[in-house]
Amino acid sequence: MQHSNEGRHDFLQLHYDSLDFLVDRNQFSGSTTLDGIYALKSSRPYLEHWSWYNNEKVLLFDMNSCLKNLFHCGQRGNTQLALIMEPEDFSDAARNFLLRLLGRTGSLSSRYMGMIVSSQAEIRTMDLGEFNLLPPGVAQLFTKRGLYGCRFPREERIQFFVDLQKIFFYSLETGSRGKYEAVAR
Amino acid sequence: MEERKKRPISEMDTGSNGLLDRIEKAKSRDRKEDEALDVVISKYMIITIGTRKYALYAEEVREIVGNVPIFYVPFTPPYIRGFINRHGEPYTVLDLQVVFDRESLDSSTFLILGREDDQLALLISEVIEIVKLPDSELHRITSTVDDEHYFMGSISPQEDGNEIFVLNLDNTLKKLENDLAAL
Repeated sequence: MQHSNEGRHDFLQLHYDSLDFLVDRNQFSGSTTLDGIYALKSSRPYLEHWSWYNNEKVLLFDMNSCLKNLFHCGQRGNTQLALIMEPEDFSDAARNFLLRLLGRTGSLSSRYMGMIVSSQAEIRTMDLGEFNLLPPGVAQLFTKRGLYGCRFPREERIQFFVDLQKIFFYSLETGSRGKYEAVAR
Repeated sequence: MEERKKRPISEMDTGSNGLLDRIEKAKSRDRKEDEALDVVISKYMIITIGTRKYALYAEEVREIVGNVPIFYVPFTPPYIRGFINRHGEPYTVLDLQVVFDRESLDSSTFLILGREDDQLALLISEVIEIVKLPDSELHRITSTVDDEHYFMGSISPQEDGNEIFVLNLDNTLKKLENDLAAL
């Protein structure tokens, strides 16, 4: 289902202390509260748990911690939910990458995966004209890593338009720490 | 007795009109003298970044702003400090102290650069003054050391006679752009 018309589009807005993340509503098929999460036998950074969804064991990626670490932002409250994504909708390369990963983890579903995010979230229909493209000198660098644009709803607040799939794959490829994520500032 | 014609108030001599004429004449005389000598004058903005003074061509700066928050962004080298919001648009903040001294600058004063190809802001400590100097007073760097990438040369506009390096923004930004492209 497309969540868009004319110049407007549906976004999931995730609220953090000093900023928000905006996620294309078409990137996930549903969401579920995390009533029970279980540890994976072998884990990688941000890939440490699984949970049940539609009677299937679903791999969970901790996007909440990943975003907080990447963007140096604090979180409001502790409740979390999982956005459900279907690898079938991923690009060929991304799907194959994920299926290889799932193949190594045993009995996990290949139909679904979950991304843990903050439950301080809401769906909002936004005017695409309110978004800013990023400055040309850095736009390509950010686009490759899943940061597409931003907007300033108020003077002291920023909203980043992010692609959760790209951030997920970038984190997997770089072992969750790209060249400059380890630099203390 | 001849009746004096009343002049509109807007045409009355306030005493400043004569001064305005003199200013215009002085400007015109300076221009003619410069043209006669074929002197090209450049306007430099003298700034500090940390404890060091630098100069840059004033025409490269569109605006000076202070006390706006920097929004941190990931995936970048430490000399990119984040974005600032100028009139609803994001500007990339460059911290040249990290480039020159490998130390981040603690400040909230920015020079918004008037570039057509990018939206950039330089993080600086403060603006000292703007000076006009003939181009002959720019001592161009002729060596092949790495500094020539970052500086055009030096000027010494102040009474203490100390040399101030003039930033070569085109080269500096190109170098940083190449650095980013390799990431």
